[in-house]
Amino acid sequence: MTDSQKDQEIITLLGRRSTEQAAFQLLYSTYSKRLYWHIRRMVGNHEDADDVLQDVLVKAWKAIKNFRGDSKLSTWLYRIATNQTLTFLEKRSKRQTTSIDADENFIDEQLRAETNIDGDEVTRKLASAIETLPEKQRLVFNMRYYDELAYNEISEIVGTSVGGLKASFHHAVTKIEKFLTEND
Amino acid sequence: MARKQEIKEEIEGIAPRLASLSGNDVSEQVPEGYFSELGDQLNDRLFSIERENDSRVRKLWTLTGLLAAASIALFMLTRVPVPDVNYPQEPELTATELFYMDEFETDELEGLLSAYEAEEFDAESILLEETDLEDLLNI
Repeated sequence: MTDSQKDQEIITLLGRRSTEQAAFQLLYSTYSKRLYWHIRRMVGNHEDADDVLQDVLVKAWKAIKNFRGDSKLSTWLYRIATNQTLTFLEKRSKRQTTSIDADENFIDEQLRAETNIDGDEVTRKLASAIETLPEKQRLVFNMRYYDELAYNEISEIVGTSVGGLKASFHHAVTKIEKFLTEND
Repeated sequence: MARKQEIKEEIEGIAPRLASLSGNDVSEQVPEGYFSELGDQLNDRLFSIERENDSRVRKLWTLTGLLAAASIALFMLTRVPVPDVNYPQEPELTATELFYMDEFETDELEGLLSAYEAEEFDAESILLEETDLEDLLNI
């Protein structure tokens, strides 16, 4: 079953009170992992990703009856997840009463601690390279490189033009390549 | 798959090292059973909230019904009985009285005619009773 067929099934199941729970289960099984990794790549550790994901799914579920189907369900969910993640990062940054640089250092440390380094030094380097990116470039890079989203989908999620996103992705890729080359 | 290839081609020209890495090579770990546990947890959380809300709504409706019934009962028990009021009725006019009325409604006239037929109408005695002879003589 394709994503759009699953989305249609979820919407149909939502139409009857007796099948709402089945709708949630299908939504969860289809999107929870993708959303988790989308969030985790931004927040850098499992505990925070878990907190944010729970908030995202609860919020999405409460609002899903208002989902009008103007965009894809996945796009709608990614948008909620992205907003929730950015809000979380802002709060965390304020909590730490330091600059964004310090927050990025925090994520970097978390990634170093959590990454399974055995035989995967390159992946660790890539994670470190991504952490050097400004927040928006990191967000765009993750959505394009890892989540493999189309530019028009990312555009709907973050509210930026496709041209702007292509430029952000290009800058991000160039910086990462430079980092990987310099730290070889 | 086509998207993956498209992204790879997009990167290759500007970042050959990055392009050589596999995109979804995620090595970070997730606690074992995390997704199934979280699914169960959210399921309980979301649907117990809904069940709780349903139960609250049902309780509210029951309470509203009981309050309405109690209000009606209280009203019935405490209401002040309204006394029967006997409004004065207009006396029925006799055919004679009707005869002297200046104005008649059609139905009154009809009544009069039937009453006139029913009563013994002594025009002479009426004239004698009602007419002041002195007045007549003075004229």
